[in-house]
Amino acid sequence: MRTNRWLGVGAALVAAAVVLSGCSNPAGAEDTQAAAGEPQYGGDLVVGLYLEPLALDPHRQGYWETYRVSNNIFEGLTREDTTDTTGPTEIQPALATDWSVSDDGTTWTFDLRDGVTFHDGSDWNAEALDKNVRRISDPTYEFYDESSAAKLKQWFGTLTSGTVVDDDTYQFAFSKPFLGFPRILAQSMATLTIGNPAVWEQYGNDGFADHPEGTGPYKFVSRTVGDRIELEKNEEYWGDEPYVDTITFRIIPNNQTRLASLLSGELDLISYVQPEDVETLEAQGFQVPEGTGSSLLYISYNFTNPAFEDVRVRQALIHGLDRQKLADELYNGYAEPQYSFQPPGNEAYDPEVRDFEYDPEKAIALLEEAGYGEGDLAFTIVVDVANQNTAEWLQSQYKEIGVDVEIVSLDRTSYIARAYGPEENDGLSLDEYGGTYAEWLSQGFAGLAGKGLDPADFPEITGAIDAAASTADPDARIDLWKSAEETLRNEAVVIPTVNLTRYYALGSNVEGFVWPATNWYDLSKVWLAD
Amino acid sequence: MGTLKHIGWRLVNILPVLLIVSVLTFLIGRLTPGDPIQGQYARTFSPEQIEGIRDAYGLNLPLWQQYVKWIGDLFVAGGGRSIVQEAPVFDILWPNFLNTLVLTAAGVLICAVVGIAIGTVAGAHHRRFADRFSMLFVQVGSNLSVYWFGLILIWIFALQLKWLPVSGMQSRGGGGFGDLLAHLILPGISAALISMLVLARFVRIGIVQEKQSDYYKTFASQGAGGLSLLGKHVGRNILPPVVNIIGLEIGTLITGVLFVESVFNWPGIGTQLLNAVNGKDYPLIQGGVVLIALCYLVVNLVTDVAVDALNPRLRRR
Repeated sequence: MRTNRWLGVGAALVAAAVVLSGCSNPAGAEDTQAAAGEPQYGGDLVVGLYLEPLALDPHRQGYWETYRVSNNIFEGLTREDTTDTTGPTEIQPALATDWSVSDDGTTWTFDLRDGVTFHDGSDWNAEALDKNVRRISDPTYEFYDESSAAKLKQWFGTLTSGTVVDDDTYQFAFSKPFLGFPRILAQSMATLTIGNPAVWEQYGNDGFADHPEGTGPYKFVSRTVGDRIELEKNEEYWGDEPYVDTITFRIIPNNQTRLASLLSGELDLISYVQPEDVETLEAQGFQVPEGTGSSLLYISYNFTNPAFEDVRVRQALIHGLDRQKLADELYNGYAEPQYSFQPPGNEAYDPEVRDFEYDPEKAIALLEEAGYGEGDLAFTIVVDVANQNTAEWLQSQYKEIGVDVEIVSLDRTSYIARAYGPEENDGLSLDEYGGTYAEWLSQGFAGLAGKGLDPADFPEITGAIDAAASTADPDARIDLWKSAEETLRNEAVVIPTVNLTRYYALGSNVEGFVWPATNWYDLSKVWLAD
Repeated sequence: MGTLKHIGWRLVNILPVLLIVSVLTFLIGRLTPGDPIQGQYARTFSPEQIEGIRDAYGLNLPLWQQYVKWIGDLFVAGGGRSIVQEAPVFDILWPNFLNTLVLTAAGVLICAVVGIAIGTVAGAHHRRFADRFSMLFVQVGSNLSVYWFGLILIWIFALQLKWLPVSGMQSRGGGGFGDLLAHLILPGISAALISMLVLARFVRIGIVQEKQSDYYKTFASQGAGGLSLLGKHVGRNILPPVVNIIGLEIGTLITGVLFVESVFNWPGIGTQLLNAVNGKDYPLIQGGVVLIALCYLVVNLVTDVAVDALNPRLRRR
């Protein structure tokens, strides 16, 4: 933290020096006016990622930083409208032009886009789709990939058949109604993004990530793990011609270095801007767009700790938390308090719902009722070192309602191991996730099971989730998910906290960038002004 | 012949050390909390589904089977496959390892040149202004954190003066050798800092001691010039310990390089291993540690041989 602030002060000094001396800053404020012209083609866009992306394989990939790279290479049958900043994003045609579902909600038929080719020139058609489907679901297929199948099981576990109807038509049949399917197909991980089957036929399933090929606006050029990934424009792209010639993704995990590289003009766009750096960046003319991804930070309980079996204790810990203050103090106001487990941008998100409002008196009363006087309830908060300040903040909040919290701060892997394999006295742990699809609720809930929650103890929640997930009535679906969220919210099984309202930063000459209400962006619409 | 035989024997001895290192890294990885699949998927997948993915990656096999498979992979399958990156381990590590070598070499060079220079100036002017001044510099420098020092350098030379780049190995669109050198200066200095100052102290004290010896006094009394005396006689006498110190400091330097890589985003093995540890990517961690251990052993061996060659008294018959 100290070095962080220090660099901020340093950067502010540099900003002051630049302004005072009137010298021109290549990525600085003076170019803003010249930029608002006609879109220009060409140039190299350099993006600074905060995490090393995982394998560039459409069925094995995970993490949003991976998808921010790979969605330039691979596309799905559908896509989210990435120009929508408020959400829920509309589902648009991508490699499919149209789709329909049978009345019983179990069988989906997709019309595939004609005239699309993979990056090697081979045709996109129902047969290519079938190979993608078989890779993740059919153990008799020569290139069946056990690892992909295990990751996609959540959505494709109920797939009974995939059928080539004709060259441009494909049918998926599920054993249960699955109305959320088109939006699931537009997601980033554990879904059926489309890769070129010719590649795994040539290099095998393990070799795919070394030669990633899809149909997207950019083609893979090279990758050096730990350093960079380079892409070039796909001249044969079926959609609108992308603007920049090449995109270079540089992996810069160190927050200060990523910021400094943007400030020095070595980068055009970075992810994961720290709240304390927003002012510095804006003072120097960098763009730090406001928006919300479809995610939230949340706190979950260790359900193996008997104290949390009592719903009153769980509710008390929500009543005892001032989330507005958390957003203001810890995130410098660049965050919004959240009260629902469905994140903003989710198709079943309702911004009006409230769980248990900030009311320390009530929290104390609930704890009393549950048999905990002042100082009787004590537990640990387990955090990733990066979230230590959040834990300290929570510690002081909970002190006010007479709860003693001890902080256990661990490196990332140990944190995940401990959070998902908690010790007896552990109380709370922190996570960040979310998505635009209503089914996220079931994923998030499944994740809580890893923290000792036994779904059998919450039959109303599992019942409501099952009902929503397998409804055949399209008009009822969203309401069913909302009611599942309500059931979950009333049981207080998780504490939603905030979501971030600043996340990306761009040089002043970067145009056409939109922070959509989802967790990635579309770089094919981005262009560089002089 | 004797020397060659000695080197051969030392090379053979490296093998059991590597074996022990391989067992230890393997066990430390497996016996500490966390695993790669949980790290990636615990938030959204149920425990049963996570078990299924673990099966797919062979992580539920008995430990000894996993170890034997990995040792086999080291020789025939490029070190096994990274679980997180889904690519052969040595394919991932090799380019980064070369980058680390480049940075380490720059660090060693800066360390040797600047360290010896500071030490010589200080030693030659023992207890005079130049000595006191450079020792103050050494004292302050030795207590700096490499991380912090790196950020200071970025602030001054990259953000304020705009002379040098902040991060990475190449500018937009790539550059030639000159571009690489420009990227190498700040991380090289940061990496060299601590070792350079340690070396400076040793050189200084070496010269001070030599100056008190009888041969020095004799030469000096006969009017031998300062520089030639330092170079021809003092230099030769303190060279073996200096080489020894440099050899030892290469170890320290490699450790420092791992931090420096993070600050300057140098695409080296340190960044790589940090990622691997964060993702608990067993094969990558194991491959990286074995590679670094091998480096230490080789540097050690080379240092010993060099010291032997420089100091006739240690030569074996």
